[in-house]
Amino acid sequence: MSGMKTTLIKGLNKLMLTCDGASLLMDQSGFVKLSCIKWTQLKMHLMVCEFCRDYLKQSHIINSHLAHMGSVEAKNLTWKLTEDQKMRLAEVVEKQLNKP
Amino acid sequence: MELTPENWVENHGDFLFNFAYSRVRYRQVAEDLVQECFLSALKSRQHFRGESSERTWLTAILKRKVIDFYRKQTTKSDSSEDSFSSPFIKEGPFQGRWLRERSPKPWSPTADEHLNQEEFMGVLKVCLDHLPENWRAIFVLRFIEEMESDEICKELGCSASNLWIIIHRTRLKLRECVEKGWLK
Repeated sequence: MSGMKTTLIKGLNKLMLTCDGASLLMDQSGFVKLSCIKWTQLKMHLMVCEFCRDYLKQSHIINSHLAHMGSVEAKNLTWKLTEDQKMRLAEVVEKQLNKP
Repeated sequence: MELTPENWVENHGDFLFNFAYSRVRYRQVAEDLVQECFLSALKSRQHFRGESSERTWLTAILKRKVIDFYRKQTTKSDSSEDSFSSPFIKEGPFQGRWLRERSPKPWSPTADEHLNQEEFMGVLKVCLDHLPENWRAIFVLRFIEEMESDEICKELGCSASNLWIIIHRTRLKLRECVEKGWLK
């Protein structure tokens, strides 16, 4: 009985995406167009897999924060040169400028 | 528009350093990249046509330097491949499914309620800093620089399939790290 169950699960695994495959497609889906078959497979997987639905939601949250992070860091000048670093850089520029 | 190299450090130093640091996450490396940027800019200043601002021109040179740095990082052999531990079952009839103890857990709704949440952003930054360098390089180019995947492959000399595997593994690692930090 357990042998039959294993064979059945193996057969289903061939038809259905694994969570590993589904999460890879989710990561790609925002950037490349999935084929109709892959898109359908992903939708079917998401219907039955709660973990992957959570993965998808969390990916969206991380994406939006990443995009926001880039712009916030650029706008706020989060990191600045120290006075020592500024002096070093100014010396390098000056030396280069004074080269004959 | 004329270039004023004698004022570059004062006028653009912090901006360029912030640009470099937010991408490479090491103060010394960021300083070196800014220095290389200034030196390259000085060498090629006769090519400056004044069509863009001085800062835009310097930033474009710095961006090139950052990509060169990433290229060197990704060609270095490192242990990121070995250190990746998959959160999926490796063999048996349930191969490829989430390992129960490492599967995604529902996050608090507050994580996506406020985009500005400092705590979440802080956790995300720490997790980004802990990624293997070559993985972070690809991730930054894709998600912060918003470069197309084929452009990244061209720059870094990797295949598209390899790029997606790295992005996928990086995401898995990042998600798990954020979850540990966020739910703590």
